[in-house]
Amino acid sequence: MLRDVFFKSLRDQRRSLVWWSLGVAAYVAFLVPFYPTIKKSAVDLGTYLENLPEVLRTAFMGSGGDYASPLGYLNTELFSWLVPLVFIVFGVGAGARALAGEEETGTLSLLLSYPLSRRRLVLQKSAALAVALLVVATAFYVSLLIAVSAVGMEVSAGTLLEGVALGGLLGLAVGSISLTVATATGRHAMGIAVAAAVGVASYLLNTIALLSDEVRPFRVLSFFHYYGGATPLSSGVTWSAAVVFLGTMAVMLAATLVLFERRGVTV
Amino acid sequence: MKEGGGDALGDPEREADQVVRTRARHRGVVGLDLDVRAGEVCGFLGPNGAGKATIRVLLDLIRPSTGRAQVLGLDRRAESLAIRRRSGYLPGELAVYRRLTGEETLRFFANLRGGVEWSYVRGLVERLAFDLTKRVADLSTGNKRKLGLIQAFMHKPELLILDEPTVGLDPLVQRVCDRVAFIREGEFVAVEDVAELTGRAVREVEVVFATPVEAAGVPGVSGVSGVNANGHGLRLTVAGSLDALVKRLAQYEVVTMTSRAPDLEDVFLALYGERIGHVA
Repeated sequence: MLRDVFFKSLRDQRRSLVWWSLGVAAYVAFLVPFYPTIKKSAVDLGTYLENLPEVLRTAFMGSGGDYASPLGYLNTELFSWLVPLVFIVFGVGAGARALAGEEETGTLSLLLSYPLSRRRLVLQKSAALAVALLVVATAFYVSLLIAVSAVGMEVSAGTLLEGVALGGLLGLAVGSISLTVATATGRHAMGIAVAAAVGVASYLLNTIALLSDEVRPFRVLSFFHYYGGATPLSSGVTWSAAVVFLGTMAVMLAATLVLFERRGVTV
Repeated sequence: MKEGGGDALGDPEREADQVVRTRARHRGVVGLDLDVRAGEVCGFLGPNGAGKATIRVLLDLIRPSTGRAQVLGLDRRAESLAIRRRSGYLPGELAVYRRLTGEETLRFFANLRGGVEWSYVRGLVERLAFDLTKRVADLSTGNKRKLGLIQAFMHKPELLILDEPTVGLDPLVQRVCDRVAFIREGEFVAVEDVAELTGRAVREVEVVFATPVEAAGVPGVSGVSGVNANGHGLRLTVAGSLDALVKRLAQYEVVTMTSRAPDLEDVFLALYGERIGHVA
């Protein structure tokens, strides 16, 4: 696992990856078994939801509204908030630490004194970020598959896969922004701040756009629009989502290569 | 800082064409020009902030605003990977991965070089009595330095750049270095031969006589200044050779005579003072 920077980066994250995976699996295992009960009282709940103000219903329940259906339940309880939150928080943190963390602890100058080009270093660190997100996504997906089949929910494996993939891609895009800003400034906190701001602004813009006709045209600027808003399981991975998320990652990667190449490493 | 192959740990194989030629301009560093010959150990001294750390331009860690530098006949920018392949570096403020053990650290760094001869690394580890099994976080400062030295030496580099290889390095510089380059405010004040430098240095001498001797006629002896007589004792400073002083003192009965080895820092300060016109 110490073969190169890519493998070492994953090795460095192994504890964190185990905990994130366990946490995600635990939440899924806690949440999904409630579905049969929810389904039985669906009529009461439906009435309750109908009586909520539209703003709250849209913001917290998603626009789908069919809380009693398997997709509606998973969208509302998991995919409208927890899935994007997990991937964004993980991606932003790991992206910020990838190179800026090494610079701040002082290990970067020794690393760069080795015959390793900065381009290669950035590529390996970025690849490690993508693979780490993949690990968390796999934990999410596998625990969902197990929980859903145990409870007998009617959701296809493909639908779940697309939902988790959307979350992973969202985390990759926002995490890439974090990696770029942190690497360009040499400060991991800067990466976290900027990327978190982008994530929150994206979320708010999409939510407001659902409620306001004036704002609606601008929702194309929000990552959450491509994520599928509150109902990612219903929309799945669209072409536009794939292009926007992977495109963001590619642009950020190119920016990191250029900006990091120009910088002096002072520590 | 030291550059060059003359190597405290001993290394039989060294290539001959080893020249460092620096013409870097960075903030605070103006037109430095330093040639280090094959097999030579060149010390690089100066006060804090003088620009010593700018030597890192040679490894492409920092980017000069203008200027060029060549290392081992290679361009520091375009051929940086080749330079880094053939050199070893010990940063002044060494930071290594805290969660790895010494062995894991060295394996990782060896892999970054595409593998090194592990038996040679073992030899270095044994000579420095370094414990490979401890985690870096649990190492003392001295042992961390050892780890830093081993990783710098482990691929038998042609060029070594060691930033403060020992703390309180002056005695080591005098013992190991052939030449010393003094840097001050980004300019070389002097590049000197160490033997010649210590010969020219100002040193403090203390003499104790068997009987009270009033200054012993020492003032006026060439090179002597700052004479301070006190009963049996005499304290003074001498620039350069002690010969004239010893011959004068030979007229009296001398009980002890001590001379503190000249501190390169003092020599440097003397040079520094001279150049800016202050009292040396």
